[in-house]
Amino acid sequence: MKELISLNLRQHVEGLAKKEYSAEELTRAYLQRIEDTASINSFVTLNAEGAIKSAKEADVRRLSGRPLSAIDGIPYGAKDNICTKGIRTTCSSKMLENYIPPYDATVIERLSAAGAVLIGKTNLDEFAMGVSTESSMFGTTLNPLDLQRVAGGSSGGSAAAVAARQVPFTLGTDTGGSIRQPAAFCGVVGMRSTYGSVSRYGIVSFSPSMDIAGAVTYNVADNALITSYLCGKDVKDETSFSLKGDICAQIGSDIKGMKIALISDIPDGAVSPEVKRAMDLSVERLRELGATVESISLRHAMSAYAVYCAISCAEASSTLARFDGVRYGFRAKGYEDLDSLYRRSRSEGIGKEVKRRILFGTMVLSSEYKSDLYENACNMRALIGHELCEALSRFDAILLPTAPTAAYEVGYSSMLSFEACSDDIFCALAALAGLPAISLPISENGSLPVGVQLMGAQCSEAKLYRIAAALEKGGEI
Amino acid sequence: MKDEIFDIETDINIDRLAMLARFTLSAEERASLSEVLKKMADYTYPRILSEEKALPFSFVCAEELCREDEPQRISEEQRSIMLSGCPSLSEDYVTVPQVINGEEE
Repeated sequence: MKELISLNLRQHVEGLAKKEYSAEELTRAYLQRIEDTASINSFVTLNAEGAIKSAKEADVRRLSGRPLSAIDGIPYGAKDNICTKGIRTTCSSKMLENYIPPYDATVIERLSAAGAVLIGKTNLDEFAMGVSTESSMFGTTLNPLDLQRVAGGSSGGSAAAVAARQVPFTLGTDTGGSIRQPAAFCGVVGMRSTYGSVSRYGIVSFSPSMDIAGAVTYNVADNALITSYLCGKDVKDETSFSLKGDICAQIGSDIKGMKIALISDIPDGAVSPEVKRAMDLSVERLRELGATVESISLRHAMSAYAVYCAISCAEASSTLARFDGVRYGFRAKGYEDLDSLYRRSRSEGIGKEVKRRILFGTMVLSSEYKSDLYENACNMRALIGHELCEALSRFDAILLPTAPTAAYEVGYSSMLSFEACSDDIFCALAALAGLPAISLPISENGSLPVGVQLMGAQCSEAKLYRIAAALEKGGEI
Repeated sequence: MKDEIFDIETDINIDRLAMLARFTLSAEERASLSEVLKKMADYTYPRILSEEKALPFSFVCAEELCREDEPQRISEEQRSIMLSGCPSLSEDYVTVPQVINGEEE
């Protein structure tokens, strides 16, 4: 059992294809692993029976020579803000504590069509708003690399599950870094692809102009494989489109002559010494591989977090208005009229962090502040987008940190509620401009990993994976 | 564009925001949230100001994407699904009053 769970996704693809073991054996091994490492608190709902049934069906297909895809029979976890038909989807919120969706999100449908086995739903910050899963009604997910530390957020459960070898891959969602930051904290790979390349249908909305689902995996090649199943136009999401070409095709190619940019506007002291060292090592490695690395200035880059704050909170105040105790979700008791039904349900069902963001978003969109806050934020967003797109027309990718520090201790972020979210500062850039970005772990001498991030032009996933794979290969220090 | 950070204590009304957002706040929540919202606005406002102007989403490169202003290709299957959901005029299910010369016919 221990051997099985130590393999990565591509090794499982090969192992199942060669019938070295069955999908049922694999699924049972991971279920046992989840039970043995339950203290991490990565899963909030397990689909054990359903998973074993699906795995058996996958085995029948393989024996008859008709697997649905290369990943037929491979177990995975999905973040609990992704709708799964018949399986509780809570967003780690009291508001949706017993909500059972009547439909699957498109990303779940796509993986089901490929035969992947949904083993359970992973923990997150409430409604995907947070950096540590500490706002989850199910409690904090602990970092498998150091149980005194957080796994990051909001897709902390997804990242921890992969890092703890509970599943070979998970799905997370990324609005302002919620896949990439926990991936960095847990020492795994997390990707946010071009906005619109993965359907948002069935993902509980936080900030619709930035939300996207993506894969968390143990390495870059695995990530590309899963992302290739997720991507594609969906008629149920009018913002979606299909990427051209095979995003896995360039992995393994060299990066000689490629041009990588470094943002020079990041002040000294903005990142910890470990993150600075990881960035220096990455630059060194990229140069050894034949790429050129050059500093550029992005005048508006350091405003990204402020813009993200205004826009994401504004959108959240709108998208979460649907949770009013009427159609679904938590309904308070003892209300006198419709207004008190709304107020009591929302006040009792929604947690502190989400309330804070909704209130700020309400303020941003209110008539008194809309022109000062919302319209200026939209303007600055467009300026940032132009700057990034212009830079990426001259460079193949931009290298930057994923988060300012390594994973911090449990309880730390609650002491600095607003400032702690500035962890999103480096991740906000790609989110605002809708660009693809991937986080890779760098770890030196067995220390806690930190993440470095590669951000590319729109629809440059294939190139981004190529550079990331090359850097990853040299990242073992 | 304002030259200085607006004064949250005189401008913001936490009760009005709570009313708009359909929340009931305790006294402690009112106090702590007022303070946090002020911090957030004070942090955000100066950083989002710029003399330069750009249209929203004007940075999106449409070459690789379907443009919204181009006719969208639609498959026969999608068309038939949409049509099957529509009431038929022959069933008299939908009637649209015809107004000609100001008089309904």
